Amino acid sequence: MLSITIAKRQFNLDKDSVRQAVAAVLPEPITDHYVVIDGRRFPPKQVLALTTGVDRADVTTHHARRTLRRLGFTTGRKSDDSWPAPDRAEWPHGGQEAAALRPHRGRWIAQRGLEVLVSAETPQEVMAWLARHDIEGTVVFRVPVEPDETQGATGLGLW
Amino acid sequence: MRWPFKEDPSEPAGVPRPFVPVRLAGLSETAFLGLVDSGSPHNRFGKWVADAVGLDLGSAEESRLGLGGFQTTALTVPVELQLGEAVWQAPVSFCDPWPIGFQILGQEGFFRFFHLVFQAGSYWLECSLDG
Repeated sequence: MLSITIAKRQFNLDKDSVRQAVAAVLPEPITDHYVVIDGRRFPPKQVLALTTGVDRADVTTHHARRTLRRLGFTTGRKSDDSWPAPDRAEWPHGGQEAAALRPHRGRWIAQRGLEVLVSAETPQEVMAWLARHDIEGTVVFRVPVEPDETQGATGLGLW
Repeated sequence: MRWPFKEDPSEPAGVPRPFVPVRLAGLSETAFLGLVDSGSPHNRFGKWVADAVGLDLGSAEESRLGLGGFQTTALTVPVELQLGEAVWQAPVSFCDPWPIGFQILGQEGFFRFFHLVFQAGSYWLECSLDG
């Protein structure tokens, strides 16, 4: 249990309460800083606001990151991202796209360049998220879990 | 236009494949991942795509299809599609259910409109509208 104070209010947080608070929520767009919760990247301020109910204007990114790190979550910066995959050097993006997609296998995503902007259970959730945040220029699909899922129409018998 | 193949994050590793980002012209700025599939005679999309962009399927021709392991209802209408700057009109069958995570670009709705160069050894596909 971690005790923190935000806007003169005291909160006692633990890892499970944070995970529960964001379980049914889609992450907002990542500007730079993020925290990883159950394989998904969230803006740290969004997570702390959801967990405590405080206005996110009362939270600094630095405070949110530090609090979530102390609870045991991994934090990072998009600007530091890299997806090294030297064993796929001959692939179109040197394996970096596969590495970026791998955490989202089985989920619907919106991708821009190599970056995954959002991942969700359904394409409708992804489309709604894109509309809500007025984001264009992405491509939407479900990341395959197994290679068979991307077999072509011949393999599917699409006649 | 040259498109790199899509890397496959499956385990064990899949092979990069020729997917392209196709849009419904004038209806959405969001693209949908389409497999350029010479084995498919027609364009097949999930019906959720039509629903998501507000495409009216009221005048669509309805048919039942058996697609490798599942039955689906297809609503077929002509649609303006866009790939990069290229726009063409072709029939698309919007299918429900559609348990596939991408859309399919086939012979009649895609290949016959384009000059295509597959450079599978280098993992890219070049597309240019014919004519």
